[in-house]
Amino acid sequence: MIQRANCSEILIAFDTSTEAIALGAAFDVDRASLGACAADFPALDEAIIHTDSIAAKRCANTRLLPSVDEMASAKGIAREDVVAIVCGRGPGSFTGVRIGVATAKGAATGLGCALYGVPTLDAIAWEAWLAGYRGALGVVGDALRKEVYPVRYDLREEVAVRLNPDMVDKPAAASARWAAEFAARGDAIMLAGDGLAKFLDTFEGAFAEAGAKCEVLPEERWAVTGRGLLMAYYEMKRRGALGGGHPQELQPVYTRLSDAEENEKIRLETTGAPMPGVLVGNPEFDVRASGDGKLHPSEAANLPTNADAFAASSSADIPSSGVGEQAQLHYRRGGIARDAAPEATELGLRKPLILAIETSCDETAAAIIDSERTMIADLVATQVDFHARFGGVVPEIASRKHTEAIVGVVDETMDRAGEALGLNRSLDFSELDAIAVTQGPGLVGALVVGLAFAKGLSWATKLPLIGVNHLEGHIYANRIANPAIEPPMVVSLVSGGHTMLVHVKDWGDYEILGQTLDDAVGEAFDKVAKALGLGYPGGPVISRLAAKGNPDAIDFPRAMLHSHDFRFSLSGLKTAVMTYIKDELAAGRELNMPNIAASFQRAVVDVQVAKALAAVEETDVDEFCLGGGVAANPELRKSLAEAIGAHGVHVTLPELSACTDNAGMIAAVAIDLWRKGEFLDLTADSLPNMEL
Amino acid sequence: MMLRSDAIERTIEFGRALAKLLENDDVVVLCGDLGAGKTHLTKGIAEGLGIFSDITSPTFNIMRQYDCDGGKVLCHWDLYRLDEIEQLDDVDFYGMLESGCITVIEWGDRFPEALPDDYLKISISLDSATERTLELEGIGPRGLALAQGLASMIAGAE
Repeated sequence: MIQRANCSEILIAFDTSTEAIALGAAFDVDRASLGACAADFPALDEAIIHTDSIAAKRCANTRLLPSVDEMASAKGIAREDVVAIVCGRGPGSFTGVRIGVATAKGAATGLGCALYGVPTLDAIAWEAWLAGYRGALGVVGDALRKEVYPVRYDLREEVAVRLNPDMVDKPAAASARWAAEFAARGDAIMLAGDGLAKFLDTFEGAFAEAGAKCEVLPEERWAVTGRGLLMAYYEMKRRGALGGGHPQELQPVYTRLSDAEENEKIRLETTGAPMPGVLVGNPEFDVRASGDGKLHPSEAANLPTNADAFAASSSADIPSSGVGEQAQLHYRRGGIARDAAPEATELGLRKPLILAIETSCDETAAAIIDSERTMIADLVATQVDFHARFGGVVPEIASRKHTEAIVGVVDETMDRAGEALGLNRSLDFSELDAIAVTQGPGLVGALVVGLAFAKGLSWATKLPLIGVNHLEGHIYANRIANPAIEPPMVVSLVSGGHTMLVHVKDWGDYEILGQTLDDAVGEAFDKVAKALGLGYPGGPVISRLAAKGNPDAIDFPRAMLHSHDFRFSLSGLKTAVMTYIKDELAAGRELNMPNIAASFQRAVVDVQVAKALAAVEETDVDEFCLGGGVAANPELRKSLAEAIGAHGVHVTLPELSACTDNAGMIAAVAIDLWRKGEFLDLTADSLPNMEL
Repeated sequence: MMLRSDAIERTIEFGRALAKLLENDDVVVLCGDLGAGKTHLTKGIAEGLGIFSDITSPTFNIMRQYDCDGGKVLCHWDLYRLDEIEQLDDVDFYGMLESGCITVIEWGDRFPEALPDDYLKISISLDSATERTLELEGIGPRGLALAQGLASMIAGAE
C-alpha cells in the first residue's frame, strides 16, 4: 500500500513534445509501494491523482498552463505541496519541447521546487505497460521531415526496459531493421507512437515483406500520458537516476543530426559499421559506447536521464526489493527569509517591483525595476558567469539558446537585486509585484521560450503577468536614458527588423508616421556586410570601415528622399550596392571597401536625417529620440543630433548599451502597464508580428 | 519554363496570378540574388490571396505569417540570415511546413536538403536594372502542376 507519510508531497507532470498535451499529477511515493506488477494496480490508482492527454495541435503555449491550473483547482492541489515538476524532454517537435521545458523551468523556479526531465517516448512505453501489455515494444515518435524517432522497449512483467537511445531515422530504415530482427526471432513486436499516424503503412509493409509479425496497439495507446510520465519518474527515482533537480539542469533532447554527423553516419553504414542507425556523436551513444560514463562538461546536465536507460537493463531484476530507495531529497530553492519584516517595509516604499524577461532575438535578458523606474538589476546572458553559478555546467550561450540560459539569467538577476537592495540574500519572488515579458515582435522560436517561462513563473507565484511590445521597449529606453523627457515627441526606431518614425503623443499613445516598405536599415547593413564578406552583424563592421572611407566617393541612391512622406525604402539602395560591386569586379577593379561602406552608410543616414527632420517639423514637437539596435551607429547619432539639434529640438540618444535589446526597457514599459492594470492571462501566446 | 518581366509591377502581377493556383500545403521556393525581386513576387502572391497589409522582407524575423481569405494561411520565409541548417529547427521551419499553410520561401536554395519533396521553384535572374527572367521548375507532381498552370495563365493573358 502507499506510504501515506508522503501524501502531501505532490508531483505535477506534463509534456508538449507531440501534438497532444500530456498532463498528470501524483503523490511522490516510492516505486516499491506501488507494487511490482499489474496485480498491484489499486495502489497505483491511489498514487495517481490525475492523468490526461489533450489534443492540442500547435497550441501548447496557449493551452498547457490553463490545463495545469484547471487540474490544480479541480484536484485541490496547493502550490506549496508540489515537491517537483516532471517534464517530458522530447524528442518531438522542437517548438513543442521548448514550450514544455521552458514552462516547467518557470513553474519550478517560481515554486522553488525540483524539476526532473523524463524521456518522452518512455512515457508511451510505460502507458502500454500500465495497460497490461508485455513483450517487445517499438515506439515510433514523429520527427517531422518524413523521419521518426524509433525506440525499442522490453515490457517485462515488473518493468519497462529501454533498449536503445533516442535517435532519428528514416521510417523505411527503422521498420526494416525491426522487421529483420523479428523475422529472425519469430515472435511479434507491438507498435505504438504518434509517428504511426503517418508511417503505419511503412512499418506494416516492412513487417509483411520480411515475414515478421507486429501488433499495432490501439490508437489511444500511441499518446504520451500523464501517468506514463509519472511512471517513468518513479522508475528513475527508484534507480537514483533523477539528477539534482535544479531547474537549470533540464535540457531538451535534440537528436537531429547535423550534416557532418549525417555524412559520417552514411560513411560508417556504407563501410559496414556494426550498428546501423545508432547516432554518431550523440552523448547518449557515447555513454553506451565508452561504458565509462564520461561526458563533456556541457553534456553533464544530460547524464542522469540519458544514462538511466542503460542502467535499466542491468538493474531490472530488482524492481521492488527496496534497494537504493533512500528518501529522495528534492531540490529546494534556498535563501528565502520569510520573517524579514523590517526589510519588507523598506521594500514596500519601492513597490511595485517588476521582473522583466526579454528573449525576442539573440539575447536572453532579465531586469528588475522599481516604482521610480530605478533599475535594480539589469542583465543579459553574456554577462552571467555560468561556470561560477553552476560549478562546471556551462550552457552554450549562443543565439536562440534561451532555454539553456533563462534560469541562470533570472536567478542571477534575483541575486543581484537582493544585493542592490541591501538584503544580504537573493530577492524572493514573493517580494515582486508582477512578471513582465516581451510578447513580440521577434523570432517565434525565441519569443516562445521567454513567454512560456514567464507564464510558468506567473502561475507558480500567482503574480500578474504583463506582456510588453518590444518596440515600445525601445521607445522607453529613451525614458530610462533621460527621465525628464515627456511626450509629445518623435522617435526614430531603427533596428534589424524595423525602420519607422513614430509620433509619441503620450506614453502608450503612438502614431506610426511611416515605415520601411521593404528592408529594415539593420537588415540593409547586414546584407551589404555579407556581400562585402564582412560577417554578421553588419552594423558595427560597416561603421568601423566607413570611418576610414570617403562618404562622397560613390553616389548611391537616396530612395524616397523627396517622397514627401515618412516611408522608407532600402531595397533599391541594397540592389545598387550589389550592382556596383558586381560591375567593379567585372571591370577587374579592386573594391575600395572603406569607400563603399562610407558611401552606403552616408546614403542611409541622409535619408534618415531628412525624414526625421521633416517629421519633427510636421508634428511640431520639441523632443526627438532614437531607438533600436542601429541607434548605436555613431554616424547616425552624430548627424541626427546636429541636424535636429540645429532646429532647437531637444535630442535624446540612449547609451549604446540601452539601444540594443535589453530587459530594462521592457521593465520600464511594464511599470506603466501595471499601473493601468493591463495583464495577460495564462492563454497568452507570443506575437512574432506584433505591431506598435 | 521561362517568364520575362520588364518591371517590378510585372513581377508583382506574376505573383498575383500564381496566388490563384495556390492551395494549403503548397510550397513555393524563390531563388535569386539580392534585389532580384523575390519579395516583390511574394507581395503579388499575398495580394492575390487577399492580404493587403504591407509585405516586408522577413529577413530579420525569418518568418511572417498572414491569414488570408477563405481560411488559408500564408507563411513567408526568408532564410538569408541563417547560416546553419540546425537553425531551421530553432525557427520551427519543419513544424510550420507541415502545419497546412501556403509556404513561400525566399533563399530556400541555401538549404536544399531542408526542402520538401514537392514544390515550385522560381529562380529570378537580373538581366538589367529593370528586366528579370523567371525560371519555373516543378519539383514533384504538385510543383509541376503549379509551374504549368502559371505558365499557361501568363501565356493566355499575353
